Amino acid sequence: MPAQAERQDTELLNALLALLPGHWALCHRGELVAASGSLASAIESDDPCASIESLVLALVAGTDESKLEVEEFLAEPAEGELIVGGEGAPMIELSWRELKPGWWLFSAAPAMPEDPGAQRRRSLLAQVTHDLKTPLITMRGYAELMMARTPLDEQQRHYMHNILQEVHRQESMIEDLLHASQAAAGRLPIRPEATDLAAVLREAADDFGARFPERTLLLDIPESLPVHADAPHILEVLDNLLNNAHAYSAPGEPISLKAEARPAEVWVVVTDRGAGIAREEIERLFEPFYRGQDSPPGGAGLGLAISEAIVRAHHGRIWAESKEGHGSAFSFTLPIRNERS
Amino acid sequence: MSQHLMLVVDDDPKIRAFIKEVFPSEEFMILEGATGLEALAHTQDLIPDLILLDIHMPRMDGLHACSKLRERPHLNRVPIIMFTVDRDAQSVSAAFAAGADDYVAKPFSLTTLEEKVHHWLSAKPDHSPHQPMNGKVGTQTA
Repeated sequence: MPAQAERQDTELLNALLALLPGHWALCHRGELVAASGSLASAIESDDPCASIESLVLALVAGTDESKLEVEEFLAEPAEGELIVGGEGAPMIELSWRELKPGWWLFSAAPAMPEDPGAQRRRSLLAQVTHDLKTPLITMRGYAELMMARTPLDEQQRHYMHNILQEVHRQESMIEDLLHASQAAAGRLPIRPEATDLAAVLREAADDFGARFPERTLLLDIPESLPVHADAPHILEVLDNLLNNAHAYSAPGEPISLKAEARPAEVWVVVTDRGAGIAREEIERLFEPFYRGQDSPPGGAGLGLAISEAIVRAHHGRIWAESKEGHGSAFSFTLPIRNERS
Repeated sequence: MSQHLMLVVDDDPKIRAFIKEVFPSEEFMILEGATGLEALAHTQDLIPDLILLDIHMPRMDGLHACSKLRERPHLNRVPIIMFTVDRDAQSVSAAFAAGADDYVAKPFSLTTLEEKVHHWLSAKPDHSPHQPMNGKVGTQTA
């Protein structure tokens, strides 16, 4: 690329970055490509972010000294956040993300102090959720004891099975409430790590089969699908999508779970042949507490909102497609695991 | 056959009562505690065959109690199974870090609870400090 064009690009990048709040640096393979104007002047001033600037520069300079920091920050995950400072020094939130292999975007901004009530509200919520779930533990326990240790005829067994299903439903609703609150506060505890999504999908399929043995679930899953994900949370998303597909399908209709690897991401889709969803409803599906016209009774209407929060926390996308009278397909994507050379 | 002495520590009396139903009195003598402090009090002079310990308790929680129990040499061969929160990998690793030998997630699966208790009644751990792995018996999950 001609030198002049390169210079203009950098100037343009610098100008753009200067518009963004906070301090930014864009790096390519160890070299600082562009930084926000404020970042450059921060080196010279007493700006609290000045130390972050030197940290960033050290990270990208690749000197021996900074190698340890580089390992620590850039090992896994491919993006992260760190709060530095505190104890007299201003709190700075440093975050970084690999936009595409070799290209890193760093940003530093003053960390917002947490609203003082938030911590108290979080522990109150955790306490309430814990207390609400406790009776369910013994309810489930005694139901299982009855099934395992007392002679039951078929009808009694059927009744106990229903009790267990409802206990499970209550447990899920309480979990949903907790997660929705966490998501609303931007505090969903997602911890992505190297995962084989194919194994997670198969586990979801097994769980589903145990819950709804009468529903045919067709699987189309590759042998392995490396991703960067928080497996228990993705399982939650899959449980939600599969439960919905089951709830909206007529008896006897199969539902399907398919996944495939694409260049930058993995794509998963759950399909049903139910009544489909009206166009005006599709837009609102992922809203918290939204329950469509044909929602089965019970359930708080949080499942899709939480699923969206979880997928977005993974930097993936989730959406629904449907044709009234033909069925629906709910898809989500997850970024592929980073193979750093 | 002699009875197994099992200490069950959980602040919920209904959970303790449930556990007593699961493990029949012909085979098990069950001691109860409602807090970490009671767990410590019960084991001052007594060596149970197994300890079931909940994480969330008032006055002294399970993790704290577990590490304190592990400081007592006479309890080095007593397996401790902690009740963790389902689908919370953090509570599981915290349990192992505190010195637990195994965990059962709440809500309980009856079979898991029974299997783990029976397993650890025969497989005695060894938490004495001279052990090369420092007594970390059992699989550690992330």
